[in-house]
Amino acid sequence: MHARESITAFGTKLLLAVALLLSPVCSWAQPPISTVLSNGPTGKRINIVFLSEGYTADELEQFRRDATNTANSLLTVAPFDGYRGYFNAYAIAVASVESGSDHPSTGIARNTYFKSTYESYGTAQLLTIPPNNRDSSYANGQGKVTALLNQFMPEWDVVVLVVNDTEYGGAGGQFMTVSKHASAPEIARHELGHSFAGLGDEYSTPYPGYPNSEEPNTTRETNRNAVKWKAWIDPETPVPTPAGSTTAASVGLFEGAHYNATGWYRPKNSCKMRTLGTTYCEVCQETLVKSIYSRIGTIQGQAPTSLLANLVAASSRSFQVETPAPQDRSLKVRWTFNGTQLTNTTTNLLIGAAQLAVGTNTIRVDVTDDTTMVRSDPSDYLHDSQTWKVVVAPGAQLRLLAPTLLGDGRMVFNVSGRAPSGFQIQASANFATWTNLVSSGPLDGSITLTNPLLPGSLVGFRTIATQ
Amino acid sequence: MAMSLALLASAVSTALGASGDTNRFVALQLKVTATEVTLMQALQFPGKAKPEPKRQGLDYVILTAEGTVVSRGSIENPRFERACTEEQPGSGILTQSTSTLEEAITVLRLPVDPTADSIEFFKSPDSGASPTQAPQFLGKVSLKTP
Ligand SMILES: [Zn+2]
Repeated sequence: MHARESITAFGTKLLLAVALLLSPVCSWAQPPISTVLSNGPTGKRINIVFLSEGYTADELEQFRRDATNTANSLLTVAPFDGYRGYFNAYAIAVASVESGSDHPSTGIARNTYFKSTYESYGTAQLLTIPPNNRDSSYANGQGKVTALLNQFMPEWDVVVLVVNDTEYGGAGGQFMTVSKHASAPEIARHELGHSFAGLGDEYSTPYPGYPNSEEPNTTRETNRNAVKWKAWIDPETPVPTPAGSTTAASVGLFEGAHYNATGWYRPKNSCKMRTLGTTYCEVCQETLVKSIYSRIGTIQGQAPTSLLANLVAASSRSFQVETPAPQDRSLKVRWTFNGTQLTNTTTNLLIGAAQLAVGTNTIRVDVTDDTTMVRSDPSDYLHDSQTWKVVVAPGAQLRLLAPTLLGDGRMVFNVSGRAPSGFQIQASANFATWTNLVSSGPLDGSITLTNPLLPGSLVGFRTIATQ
Repeated sequence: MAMSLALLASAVSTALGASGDTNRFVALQLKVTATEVTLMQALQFPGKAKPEPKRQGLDYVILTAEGTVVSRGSIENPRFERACTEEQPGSGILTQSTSTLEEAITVLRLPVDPTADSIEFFKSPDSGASPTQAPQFLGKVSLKTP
């Protein structure tokens, strides 16, 4: 199904399910959602949703272009650039009466859909939607976002409100806001580090009262062997690591992070979680890649879907896994059959009938992203496995004892052995063509059968197990 | 808490725990204050609730009716409104604009699990806190339709 059709159908189904709860937004002349980037089903991709704020009806096409540009800018930096195909992006376009956003200190008030405002809580750049210090109504802001997401994209992973105002500003959190200032994409990338991967701030500006707990890229640990990113620290790098030209490119333990100038450490002197305009450091990139796989895994489907097959007789079987693929390579696929690794590294495997032994056969596939961006993965996010078991019953073994001729011309056959699906007794006049005399159901033991009247001139009899 | 349960009952035809379908998830809309987490609304959807990154702020424990732990997790405390901005636009040097809110609302999405009976919320302990120190209990929400 085309991705666009999929969205529409899904939205319609959901509409029926929650219409009573969403009456303010449940009927549109046309669905306001459109696809910005489509790489797969919503359940198997990371879904970024952009919503329009401060765009009039005439400006919604511009919003869709802005959403496309923002999506592209988010996904053109490492590590996202290598995993672009793991993401979908959608634009939910809702019209505001007026363009822009509120600027309370200069008396600018705009009538906008989500009622966004700069200068939230007294901070010029803090661009938020209600509930906030200017409007405590959840229904006026975040409630509208939630209702739209519930209706059109409940499987959202990243939500970005694009505010049609060029003033510098934005906010993080579950629903991120970005303005159209030139720095906005870079701020959004930084905020994505927080919301998508749980990264902490690596800068030192005090934030009294903020939870005093470590993030993947911040620590108070100074013992080299206990530092959580020790896999990235070369033995010759001193720990803690002094900032300077000789350590600028090194991963180490640099003091100053998590809103503290002392006592807290970051992995690298420079990182996007500390300074805009730089790359994410190695540890932050590693965390982002693990966050991608924690959401969608390396195996996204398998065939057959049943993990156990019982076969009466061996027959060839094919196995298949569905995996996502980074931009420049495939994931590493390894098949194991009854404990022996196979040379096949594709996502399909055919096991011939002759290879299947009587009893339980085990087919396992392991799919791994062996990217060099991840050195430590204790939760095994970059690896999934799948195991099938194929049980082949012992083959049919039948024995036909010498037939006894009855006086009326029929014969009595005694058959012993095992035929799980049944068997036939056949007769031949020339040992070349065989005719069925008697059919029987499954046998595990012995049975005596009498055939109908025989045609004449038969010279041989045999039993054939039914497959 | 009685109010939370009433809202849950009116909003959800089939709440978490009422269905064994693993391809569904429930979205809990939670109001968070310094001392309490309460349920505003719960809705169930087809599809997959992808795991969210571990965040310090609010810890939760999902329990069976017998009190056995089904799973644990944590989410960011939405009360900490934070924006990272440059000291001077274009300088690259970050600072933060922050505000700690009296109350805030967040959405927690969980896979439908027929064994889940309730979810309890706690304030995440500081990383330096003693392991014997009991975390601050913030609330319990039923995941079953009455
Ligand atoms: Zn970093």
